[in-house]
Amino acid sequence: MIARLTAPAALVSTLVIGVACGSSGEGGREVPITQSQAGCSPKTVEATAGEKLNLVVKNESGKEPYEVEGEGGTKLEEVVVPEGKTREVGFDVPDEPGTYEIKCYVPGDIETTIEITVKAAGATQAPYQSLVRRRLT
Amino acid sequence: MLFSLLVTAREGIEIALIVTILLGYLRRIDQKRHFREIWYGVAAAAALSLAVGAGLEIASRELDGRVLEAFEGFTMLFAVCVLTWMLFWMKRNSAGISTELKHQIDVALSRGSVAALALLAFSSVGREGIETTLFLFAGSTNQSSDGLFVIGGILGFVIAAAAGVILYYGSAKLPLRQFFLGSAIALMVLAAGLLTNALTALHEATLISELGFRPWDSESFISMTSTLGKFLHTVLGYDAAPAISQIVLYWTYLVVVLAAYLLWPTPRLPRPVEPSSPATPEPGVLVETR
Repeated sequence: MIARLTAPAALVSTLVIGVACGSSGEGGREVPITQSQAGCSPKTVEATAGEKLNLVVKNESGKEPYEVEGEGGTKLEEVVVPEGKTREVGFDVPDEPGTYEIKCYVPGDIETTIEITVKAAGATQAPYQSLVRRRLT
Repeated sequence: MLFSLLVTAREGIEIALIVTILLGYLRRIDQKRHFREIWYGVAAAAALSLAVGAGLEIASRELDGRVLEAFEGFTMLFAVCVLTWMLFWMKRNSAGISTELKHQIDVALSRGSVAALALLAFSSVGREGIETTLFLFAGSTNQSSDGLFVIGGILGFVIAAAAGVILYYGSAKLPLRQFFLGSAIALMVLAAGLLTNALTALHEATLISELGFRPWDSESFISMTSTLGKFLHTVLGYDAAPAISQIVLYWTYLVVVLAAYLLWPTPRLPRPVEPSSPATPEPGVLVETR
């Protein structure tokens, strides 16, 4: 991606945007999430390391408070979605590949976990890893 | 930031007034050597307030989920009660505080008890200190930025300390009356916001099952997750889609408490329960507030 080539510039602009708009979801890749009686869907979201996501959460369950919140160290602030409303939440995907959990729940009622599966940012890391693997074997 | 600044400036100036009265009176009756006991009392009060703050913070970190929401909700409700009561108490009693404190210094000195002096400073400052801690904690649960919140709090104390120095040396007359009126109104607006935030927290704690319908949604106009939205949420209790119960509670509290505060007659004389205090208040610093 272009962002990697202009990493310092991207960092600066992210900081500026971060200060100006807080963590509102504007600008990231849109990921629709639906909250229903049966829980939240989708259950898994694939993302690239360092990417910015814009979670568009819609509460169609007829229940509230329906919340999304980072779990197990995932940095996502708690957002309450009132019944019938849609809320947009920005999520900065961590740079470390792995699985990150987001709790999507109605307290004491519905409890689901959305897994964000983060893959390494392709091109630059893949040759490096294969190089390491080759040396080890 | 505005929240913490307002709370520490207001409470800090109350503390500054108390300390100024104590020190000023000791200076006038030529007992400057007892300044040390006053400062010991103030330091102990500050330590107690910090300990209470740390306790609340540790408690909230130990808790999570619904219990945490309930804890925050009740702390906010408690803070609103104490805040409202404090504002009315100050309005009613500010004229008598100065004579009351001076009387207590006389009693302590006549008994020859220096510990009583330290205790007097400790109890009167400690009360304000714990109030400050409680309000700051109640307001910090939904802050957009921890750093700014701390800066605001420190700035408020700096303003209060400066006011205290000016009052002690009497180098300028401060518009205290206007400050107390203005900050009281601002604190009531904050309290109304805390009240709606408390309802949200108790709703999340499932202690309130239903908040009622939500007449509008201004999320696309001012997002709850934006910096402005968070700021307004803390200061004014902004909610993009508030429930009818929150709207009613907010405006009822604001209108009733503001009207009661502004229409409540200010007593001109010190309370009659003080037989030893003079009939007319001395021209002390607090008298000027009302």
